[in-house]
Amino acid sequence: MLFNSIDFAIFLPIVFILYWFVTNKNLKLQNFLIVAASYLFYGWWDWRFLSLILFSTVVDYTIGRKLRMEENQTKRKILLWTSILVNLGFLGFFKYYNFFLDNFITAFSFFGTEIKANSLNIILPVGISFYTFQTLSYTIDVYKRNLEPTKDFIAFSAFVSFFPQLVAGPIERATNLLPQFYKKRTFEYDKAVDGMRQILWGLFKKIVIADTCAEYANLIFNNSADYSGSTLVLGALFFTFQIYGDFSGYSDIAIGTSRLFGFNLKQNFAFPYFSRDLAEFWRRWHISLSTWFRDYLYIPLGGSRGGTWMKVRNTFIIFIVSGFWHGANWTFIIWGALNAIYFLPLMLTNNNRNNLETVAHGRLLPSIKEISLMLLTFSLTVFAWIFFRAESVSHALSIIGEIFSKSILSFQTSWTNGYITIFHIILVLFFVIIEWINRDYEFGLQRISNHTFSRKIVYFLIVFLILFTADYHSKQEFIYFQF
Amino acid sequence: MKAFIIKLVKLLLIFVGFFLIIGFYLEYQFEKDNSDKFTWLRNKENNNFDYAFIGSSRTMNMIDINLIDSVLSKKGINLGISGADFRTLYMILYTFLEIKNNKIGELYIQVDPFMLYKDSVYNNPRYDHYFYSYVNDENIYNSINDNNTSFVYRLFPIFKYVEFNSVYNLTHFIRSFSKVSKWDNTKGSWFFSSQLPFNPDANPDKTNHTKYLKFDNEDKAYLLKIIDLCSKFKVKTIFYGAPIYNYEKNFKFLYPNFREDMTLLSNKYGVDYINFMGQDYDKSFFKDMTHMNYKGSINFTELLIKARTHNNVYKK
Repeated sequence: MLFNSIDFAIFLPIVFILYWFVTNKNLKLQNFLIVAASYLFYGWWDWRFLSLILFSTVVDYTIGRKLRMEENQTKRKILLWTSILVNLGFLGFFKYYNFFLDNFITAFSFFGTEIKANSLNIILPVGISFYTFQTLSYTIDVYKRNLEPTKDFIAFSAFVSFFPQLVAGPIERATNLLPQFYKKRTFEYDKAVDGMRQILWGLFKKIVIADTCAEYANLIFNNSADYSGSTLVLGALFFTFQIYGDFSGYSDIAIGTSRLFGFNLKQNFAFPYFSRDLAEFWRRWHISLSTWFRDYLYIPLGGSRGGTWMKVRNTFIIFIVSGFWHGANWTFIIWGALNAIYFLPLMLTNNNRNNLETVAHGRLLPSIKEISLMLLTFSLTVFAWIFFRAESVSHALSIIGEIFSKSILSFQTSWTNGYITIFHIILVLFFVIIEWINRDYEFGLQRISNHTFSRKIVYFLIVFLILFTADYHSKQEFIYFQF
Repeated sequence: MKAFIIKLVKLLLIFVGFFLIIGFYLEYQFEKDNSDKFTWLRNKENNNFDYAFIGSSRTMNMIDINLIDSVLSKKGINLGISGADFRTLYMILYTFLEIKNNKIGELYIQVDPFMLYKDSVYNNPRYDHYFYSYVNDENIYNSINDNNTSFVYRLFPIFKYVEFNSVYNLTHFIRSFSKVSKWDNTKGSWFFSSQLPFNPDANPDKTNHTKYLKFDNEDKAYLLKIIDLCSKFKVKTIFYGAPIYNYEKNFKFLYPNFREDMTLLSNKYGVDYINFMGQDYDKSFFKDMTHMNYKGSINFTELLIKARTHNNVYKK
């Protein structure tokens, strides 16, 4: 089920009413309702893959229980690795099997050995990368004794399958989300209103910004050979806003929906395009994944404690793995490596924690220096997104080659759509302004105005734009569903 | 909780009220739009035309009304719409004659196998939303494919403008304030400017084409309804087949008896049938296999004028 669908618009109020009016007296029943609603939400896409979620849930719940009772360190390790192998095994099979197979065949053929093997027609279960990491975090935390394993299977199932963030995050830690299923939730007016506002802003980001930018980004990237360097730069810019609007929009809807049900999820995006360096960007982009890799991969590898070589190695590992997590394609790996290259100079010169505060904190406008740093960081990010969006490495290189050619000076209008394109660009600017105003808060629409009337005008305008921009004749999925 | 729900319901009601009002305003404003072919036609009211052509893109893009008017000193209009099937043509003609009270002397109806495609382009109700304003009319209501929801659009126009926002978009909204339309100068025709490269020997995918190509009961019913409508409004009706590049070689196999079937039909209903489909035409006249460019369109229009003035010499 998509957040931006009529199905979800019907589903959400029904679950909300059942949750607060029918099952509110009984915590177990309320949690069970969340599990049932989550399975329905996921099964709406493909019910067959519910078995994977259920299997993952049972495995990690059982291993968590056993880890609590087991004192023998070797046996504990075996239990931990069983969970890791099961979860990553599923992920590896569904997401990476064909990639590894194709690359093995290519590698062997390079040395003159022909291997005959057929690729499998594997459907990637939506959200597998997200819930796999979520359940893994539980087992690792229990193994490290950072978390008491749960006895409540329903609560654990609800934690694994919690529908607002099941298919595209934020990837919640068991330490944050699981305890919330143990406590009776009480309805908080302010939290619910804030949740509604965040849902509205998420829908705006997805429908008005991401889907609109997607039209141009797809047109330009899919026909890149027909376009000049300047148009390709615009294509990359459109994709930059598309991916941000799409993914952070999903996170906003997920967090807002959770608030309606009395849950607090972690912030996943903190206005990353206003970052002054790449380190700040990565503290603000897909925070739940970055911190996951930091805590469960980077720190266990030694983090930045060792010598220079260790720092370089660990940085490359974390960024490349992060790239690979996004998809089984060399383009994602190069995107990750490129970000590592951006990040390393900052880390090696101990400048990776310079910009911890929000840009222009306490001021309306940034300084010239801040603007320059933001533009530089933004440009590096846009450049890296070319690899992320391109179909293949050669496709990305051909785009970059065209961008750095004389055609950068030739302006084309064939990709435009008259007034509509001008209007779309104005929308993106409006979006950037609203985000800038709210950069000290958790999401773009959190503090719009103290006047009720002007606030309602903004809401009305946003609803209007959502209604009149959405494409009701084709399903626009979220990009991160494929990851 | 109670306060939250009351506030939410209040806000929803205010929004719904506002959007309903906006819907009626858009209905009023978009009625004035005449920037695309459909809306331009919709704005024609109480006019008299000596003749008209109706059909798909091979009518809209291949017949020069200005040329015919100047040679024959007549007043004509091109009612052709890209990708229109007989059902859509019927609704266009019905709206034009019955609802908008226009008069036509002679109507040339394009008939060729390509109008029988049952694929997403030709049979898709992609033009139905233009007729939702007229669903109170029984004939329009019965002709709309998905007429279950069409009354909702009539009563609450906002739904129409939300659902079809890609058609009723900002460009059209801005254009609706202009009284000038590019279609006024061409009288409903629009030409492909250049000869695009195409491979004249390309053999169309037979399976793919024949899967869709079928003169079924619905097509026949709507073609007959067009003839009935013409008869009701005393419009002389003529079937015509538009030129196609190397039809005999490349396309005839798709529907070998089409010409014969049309001849039978035209004889049965007393309709003239002039066919330009099987003639030999120069490649330079075409933009692609089934569409002429401007040069070809002028040539074809001249042929039509000859056919009209020399007692249907191309009748087959």
